[in-house]
Amino acid sequence: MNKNNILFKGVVVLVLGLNLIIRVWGLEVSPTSINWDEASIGYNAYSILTTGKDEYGTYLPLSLRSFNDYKPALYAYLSITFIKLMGLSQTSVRMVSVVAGTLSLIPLLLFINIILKKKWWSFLIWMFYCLDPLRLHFSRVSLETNLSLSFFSFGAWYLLKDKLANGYTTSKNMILATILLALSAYSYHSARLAAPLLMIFVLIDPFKYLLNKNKFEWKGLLNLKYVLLFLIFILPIFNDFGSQKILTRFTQENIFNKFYPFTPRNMFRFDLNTFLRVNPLYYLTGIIAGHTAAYFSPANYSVNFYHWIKNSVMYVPEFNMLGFWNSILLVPGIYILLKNFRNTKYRLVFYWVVAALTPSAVTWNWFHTLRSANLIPAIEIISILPIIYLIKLNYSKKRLTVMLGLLVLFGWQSIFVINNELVYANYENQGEYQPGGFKEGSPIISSLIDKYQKIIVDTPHAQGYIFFLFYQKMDPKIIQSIAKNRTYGMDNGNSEIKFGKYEFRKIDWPKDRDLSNTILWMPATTPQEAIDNRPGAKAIFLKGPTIKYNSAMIVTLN
Amino acid sequence: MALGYPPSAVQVGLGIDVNIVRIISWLILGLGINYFFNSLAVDWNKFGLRVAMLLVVISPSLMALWLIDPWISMYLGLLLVGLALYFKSRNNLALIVIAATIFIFNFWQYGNNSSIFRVFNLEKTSTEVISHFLGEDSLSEKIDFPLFFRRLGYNKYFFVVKNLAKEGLGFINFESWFFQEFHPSDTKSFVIFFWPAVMPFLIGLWFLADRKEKRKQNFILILIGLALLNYFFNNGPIYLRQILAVLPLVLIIGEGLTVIKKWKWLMGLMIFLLIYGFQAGIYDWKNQMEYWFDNRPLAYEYIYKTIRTLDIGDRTVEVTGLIGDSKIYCRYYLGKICDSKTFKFASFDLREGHQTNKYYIGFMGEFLGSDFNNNFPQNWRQKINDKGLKIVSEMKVKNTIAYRYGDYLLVAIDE
Repeated sequence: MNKNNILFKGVVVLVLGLNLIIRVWGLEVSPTSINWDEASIGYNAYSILTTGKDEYGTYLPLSLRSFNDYKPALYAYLSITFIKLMGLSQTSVRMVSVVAGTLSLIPLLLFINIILKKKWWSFLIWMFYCLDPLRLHFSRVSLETNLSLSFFSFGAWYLLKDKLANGYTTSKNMILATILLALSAYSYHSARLAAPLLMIFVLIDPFKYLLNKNKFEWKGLLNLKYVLLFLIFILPIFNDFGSQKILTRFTQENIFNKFYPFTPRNMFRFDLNTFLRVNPLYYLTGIIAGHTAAYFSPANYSVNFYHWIKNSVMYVPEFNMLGFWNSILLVPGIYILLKNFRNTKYRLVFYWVVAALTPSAVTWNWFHTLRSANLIPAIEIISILPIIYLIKLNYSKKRLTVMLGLLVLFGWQSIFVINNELVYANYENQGEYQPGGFKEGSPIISSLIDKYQKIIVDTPHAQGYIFFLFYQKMDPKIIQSIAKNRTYGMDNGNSEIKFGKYEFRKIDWPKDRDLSNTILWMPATTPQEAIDNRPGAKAIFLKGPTIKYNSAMIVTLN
Repeated sequence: MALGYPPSAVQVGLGIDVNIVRIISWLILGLGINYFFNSLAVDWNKFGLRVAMLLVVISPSLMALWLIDPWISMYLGLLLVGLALYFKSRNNLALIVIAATIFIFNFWQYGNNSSIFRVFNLEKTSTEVISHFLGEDSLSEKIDFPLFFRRLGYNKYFFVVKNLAKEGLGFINFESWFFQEFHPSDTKSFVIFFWPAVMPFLIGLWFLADRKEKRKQNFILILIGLALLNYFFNNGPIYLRQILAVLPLVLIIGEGLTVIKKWKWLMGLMIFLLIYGFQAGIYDWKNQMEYWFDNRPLAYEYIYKTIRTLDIGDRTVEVTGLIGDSKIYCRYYLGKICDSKTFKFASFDLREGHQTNKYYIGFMGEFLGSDFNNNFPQNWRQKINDKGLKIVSEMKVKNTIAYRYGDYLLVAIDE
């Protein structure tokens, strides 16, 4: 290995290290508190670590029943190591995402380099794309989709690398790709559709026949054996709980369910006129086409904040998926992609986009960053294409000015992104996916619980019990013991629940004030005066996530 | 059918019969379209141009324009002629004149309320920066970065650049071009083309990118530049801001259809879908006119058509001024009588009492007092009757046009 290569690898490792630090820094306070899914993944990992079973008592499950949403369990299994080493905490449950998010940067560099073929330029571009707002955001929250993205990126690399370099595939890399893509499918639902689609597109390359009018190579279909292998690999997922339950999320969210009867409801009638003039099929096709086109609209990557994004873990204030300049570069990027569509390299990137957007295009949301996370590297590559074009141009002062300008803009943006994600996002997201109070109140409850018989919790947040299980590190056997009484269904599970000393239900202060030897956890809306009027009652207000906000109150009734 | 829709404030302000205004708007716009597309025949495929011209004529955004806004129709018609002249002459002076026209027209319409002025408003930007600092500082637990680091990103210059980038990004928007009626947007707007046009658009874009036809590519780039200029200086609904994007889009669609022509079955399917989209759009407009169009003209039409039926005699009439300049509508429907002392045009508040022998025409909130959340009691009719007022006529406006004052427009009198 020559000196240049050693130096190159050294700086790549250095940048990866810096990215790891940015991703891991201050995880205990930013994002301020864990969300429901993080608590569920973390607690189930803890439960599996200590008992070998999840919170419902299922032995080594492949999907976590959780809130009846059957979360893929791989993230929880990988978290076990960190929980064992660091204890159950906000940081330990986020570590898999941190590591996966950092590692997923490697295939991005490899892809840029194989297209550009100039490693130092590739490195420079990559360095700025490492701080893509959504990549950074997803890496600081425990998200199965981020783990899936990492496996998907590596899988896509092994699937495409030979095709990109030589135009053919090798069985060794194909098997590696199949395994990695299967792991991606074990990590998050979207990959279960996106991965086989990408494999089919890449192996068949349908546009090749359309563009070059070649005869279809039937022999090429034999390559689909890898898709079959992929399906065999992921079969156990559906076997675990039964396919119907595993597909719960899709059943709830799919486009057909939510938009029926497709024709706007105030025009729809069950009559011939409706079917002739405003046919549901016309509208359904329009909706699907619109959902697909949404992923080619730069506005959606940085400007359009939809309500389902804004009130969720996906929300990155100021950004949506890409940085401002990255989104702008997406416009000439799409043009360059189309211009070079006859070139296999560019077509493969297009296939990646189509495969990765399909799982979200068939669900009701217009644009969904979580379900389309596997799209990120492909979209980044498209937005890099104009820079690659600039680099390949002959040297001129104009080119140098544009390149320097881009350098300044990307550098400036990166500084903003770090501050925005690590600090400002907490302010914007408080109360939504970072419910306040649980983290602050947990040590107080721990110090009091032995002195009281019962704790009644009334919280506006559904499934609030999971935070108590997580922050109290409660013995999993307690919750497992009531598993049989917990309802199955298409809803998010029952929110009125009792276990150990805990009871989760609405608190009726005029009635419940008469209880004794009890702790009440309730919204901080009951006036202090009412508490003072009850002899032996004492209220503790829980501050946070902002200084002035009381997120809940603990009332002890003696 | 849409010709039956009552006139907009701009049309009423001209003082001519609305049908004549619409015909004139259509003629000016139509002539502009015809001249523009005929002038391009030197470089562009004739078939593509004809289809493109047809698609522009049936574009929902443009149809809405000539139905409701004569000034913008005229502006667009003139711009089309200017662009055709530029295309013929390739004289950069013509391009400068066109750009200046775009700027002047929008400035005349919106003053300095356009998005671009807002972006460069440093005072507003400073407030945005401060709110970021305050938000962060209000957190009870946070990572503390050194102030200089925070200031590198949180300063008004970065925010101006950031807001400019965001503003520009809103322009390249498939949703407002092809899918506005499906898009879960907070505000309704007219789509530029019916969604089936997206397919020839993509094929056309690929075709233009694939071929090295510099003249066509450059002309499209110029059109995009001008559309972007209009987008930045316009402060209207999204379809108005993007109205000039119609031209580059339709030329690309025309190219796409020229490519598709080779496959007869595909062309047949495309034609069917485009015609079907048009008729479905018309059906939608016809059935949900109140949803798509501004409801204020409907409210005025109701008010003044009702007044015509009233026995006013020596009584006076007080008409709400909550939704704009009511007097110009009065003149349009009732003539010069509106200048007499019989009419008063202003919002009223009858919570404290009212005069007898006077017609009050306004929203329920003007009779009962406004409500911040636009919620009114179920028995509002009874409450108005209890005040001694008799409701002569009422109309429910489908889209809220006077928020906080309810959705019912009432004519009432205490005899």
